[in-house]
Amino acid sequence: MTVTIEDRSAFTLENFRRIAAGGEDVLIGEQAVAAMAAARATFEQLLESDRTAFIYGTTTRGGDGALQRLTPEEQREMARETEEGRHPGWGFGERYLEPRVVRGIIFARLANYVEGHAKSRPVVAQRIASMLEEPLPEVPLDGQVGAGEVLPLSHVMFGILGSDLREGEPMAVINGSPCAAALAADAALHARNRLDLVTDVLALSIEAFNMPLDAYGADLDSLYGDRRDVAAVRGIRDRLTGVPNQGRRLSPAPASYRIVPRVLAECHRAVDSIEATAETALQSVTDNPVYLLPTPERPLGAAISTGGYHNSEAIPALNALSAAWANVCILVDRQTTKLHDSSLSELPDKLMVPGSAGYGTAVLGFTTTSFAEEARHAAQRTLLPISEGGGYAGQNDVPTPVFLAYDHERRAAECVHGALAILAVSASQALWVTDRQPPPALEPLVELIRRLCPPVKGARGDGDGEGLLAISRHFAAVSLAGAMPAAESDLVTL
Amino acid sequence: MTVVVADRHSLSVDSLQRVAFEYESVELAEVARERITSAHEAFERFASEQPASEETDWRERERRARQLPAGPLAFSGELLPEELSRACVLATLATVVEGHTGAHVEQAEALIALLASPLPQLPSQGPIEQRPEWGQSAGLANAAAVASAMASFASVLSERRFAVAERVFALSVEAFDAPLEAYDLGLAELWGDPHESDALESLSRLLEGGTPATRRRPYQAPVSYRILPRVLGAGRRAVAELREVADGALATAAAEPLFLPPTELSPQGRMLWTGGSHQGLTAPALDAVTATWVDLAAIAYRHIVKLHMGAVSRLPHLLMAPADGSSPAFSTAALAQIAEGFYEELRRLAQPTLLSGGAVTAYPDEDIASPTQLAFRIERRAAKLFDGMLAILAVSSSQALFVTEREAPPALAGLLETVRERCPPVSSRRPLAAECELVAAAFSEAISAGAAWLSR
Repeated sequence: MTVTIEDRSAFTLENFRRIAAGGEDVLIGEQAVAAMAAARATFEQLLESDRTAFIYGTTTRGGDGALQRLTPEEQREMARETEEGRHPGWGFGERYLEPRVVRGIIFARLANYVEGHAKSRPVVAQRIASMLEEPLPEVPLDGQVGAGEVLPLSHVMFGILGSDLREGEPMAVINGSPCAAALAADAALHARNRLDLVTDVLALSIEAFNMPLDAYGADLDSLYGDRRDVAAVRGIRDRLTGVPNQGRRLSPAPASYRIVPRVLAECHRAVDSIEATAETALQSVTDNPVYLLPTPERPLGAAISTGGYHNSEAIPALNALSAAWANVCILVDRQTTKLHDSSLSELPDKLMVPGSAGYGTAVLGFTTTSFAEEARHAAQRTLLPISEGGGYAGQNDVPTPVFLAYDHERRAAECVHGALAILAVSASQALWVTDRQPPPALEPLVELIRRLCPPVKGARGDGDGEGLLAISRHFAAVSLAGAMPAAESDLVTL
Repeated sequence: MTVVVADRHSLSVDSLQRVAFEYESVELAEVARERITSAHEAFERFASEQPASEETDWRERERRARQLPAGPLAFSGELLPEELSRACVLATLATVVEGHTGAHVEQAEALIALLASPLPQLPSQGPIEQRPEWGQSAGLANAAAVASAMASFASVLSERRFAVAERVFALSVEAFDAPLEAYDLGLAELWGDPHESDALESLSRLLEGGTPATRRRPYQAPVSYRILPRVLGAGRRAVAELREVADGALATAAAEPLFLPPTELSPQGRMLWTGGSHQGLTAPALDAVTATWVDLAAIAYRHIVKLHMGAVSRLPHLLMAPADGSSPAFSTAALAQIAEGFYEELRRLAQPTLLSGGAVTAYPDEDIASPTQLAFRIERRAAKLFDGMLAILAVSSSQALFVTEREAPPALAGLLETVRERCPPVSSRRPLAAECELVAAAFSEAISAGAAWLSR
């Protein structure tokens, strides 16, 4: 399948999913080709109208070269020099972006082009689109915190910079913020599915703890003043549909169970935010200089220097997501402990078959603490650095740390998968040891958990760690794919 | 003026601003009085008719909640403004006004009557909801209400602080003589973000009438100037989201326990333990505003340094007045050292306030705590430091305009006057830090009082 792009409205999260994760290609439509050709023509007229006017990277060089105007001949020469002057990127390290993210960056890059704001010929956009049909460049995850996104884009666009670019075109290839758009979109692709998974496992834990249902009842919908609180409590309630209302515990329930919907409300807010941020970023034109299309007041348009290359929304949105995942891990840690403490849970001690030896699933609580603590670290906020790195006469004084924020969010999410695996196994054990059934909506989840990590009848076996890892990996896969596997063959295997 | 409270939806950041900051009184609407009275009667019937097993459960828990084993648990620390005490009292009404505490209408009236007299300032450390003077019912000693109040209180101040910040940054743009194209309104459509659009519009309005575009610096300004609309846009989003969260929290009936008055399905009414006392959205929203102050402080710090670097700014090096010769003592350049201290402390404050990691007390049901009060305290500290950073940037900008004999744009003339009244342009040795502190205090005061110039 191919996604046809006519204008910026095609840069949706759904199309990002199709192209980045689904492997579909891009076709630049006729409308877009015409828009780019027209914009290029008027840009060339603008350039010829006054070659002494400041157009960053066109009538001047980049960086500290912005201070000096080039002669017309130097301007033409600079565009031709691009092939010699190009660099395959400076960031390095042992870790690389997933290929789907690189595909996402290539897709996001095209938003600047398709309506003519990149002041480039259609052929440049078509070459960029064709990168999706070829082996992808490797893009290091590390060493990419600089002003704008020149560092990572030099990796991604090295091949394009080697082609016969003309005046005004090179800067449009490596400036702007398509990386932030793609990183936010990649996080968004996973976030809603992961939230569904978190809700599944917490609902299972609630049932395993035999919680009274008041804290998740329909009465609360009208008492909450925030839509995220309502969405969260409904999510839990939906999963608990069909469970018995009688015979549930009466003694005071721990706060970690009662506050589940209110903690999930934070997740809803963070997920809403990353989705909105990604959608906006994908459709944004962020070049510097950016070409403003002709208007009656500006008949030749204008090429202006802006800070569009700095996406300020993606970083806080990723930060908020990391913090939300960390709070989930902390909640999971508390619940795992409580499930195994018979003095609080009113369940068999350590969830063991009475009279059996060992510690049952209780020792898993240690591991949840590890995930919770690591998630806390991952949730530390990514702030704007104030380095003068790449100083260029004081120009580049605020780098963008979006790669860092993305990396942290990714790690926090991995902790969620691990912590959820432990809570899911513990909840499964609690139901099994008390001979209770899971809520109907969660039967497939429990079936999966028990296949990978069967209930414990005596001391734990040697394969527990492998089973937990398999569940954790499965949760990671579900976060991307968004569905539980229909068949055994779909299970993520060790 | 009087704020009339009919139901939970009468409570909002706007109404809280009137009651807490403008000291307006509160009155219960007749419909609210009737509803509270009816719910109280139902509650009394409910309490007397419960079977022993259930009664034991909720009565025991309510009994414990009513007991304050060590009196107020607030410890010490900064005394918070009386406005926050008023905000807490008002926020408590969300649960009372529709009968969810089972309180008698006289208790509700007594609560409202607290607003007629000066209220004690609350200490910032410890769970401040545990105040016996707010009433003996668990529903009245309510952590969720305190969280709502804090979010709302911070929302009011954050919007005002943001207005100061935008003005100071606009003054810096003008002082640096930055090209205006980075603030072109045409960018709004290209970026597609409503908050960035608002930031562009605000900057354009504030810069109107300044040095014309054709006479400004002929090439692009440093990154810290060009990305300003996008960073301000992100800040506007954080501040707007805090208001949205605060509005939602104020309109939430959240108490432990929560009484549901009788309905057709539950003719006796019901008593719920829901976890409602935990406002999950308030701490992250406060954290986001704290991070906004830190990121904006990073930009301000870069501006302060860049304004004084002649090779970058094309302004007189160190912003020294010509008559001062070459002595840096008569420059504002050294103020950046203070800014550095503010900035490093701010970075450390910007970390998220997550859920507590272990059991809160030995009570078996208290195994996790809400971090809202901590988030609130941290935001206040960050805001204070940020005011100091803005003062230094404003003084530096004032100096840049002075040494180049330029005026502020009309919309910023009042701000410049405020700055120069406390810290005139520097052409001799003076206690600059103390004068900057006066400017910071003037900003803080304008924010607390809602000075008229912030809304112009």
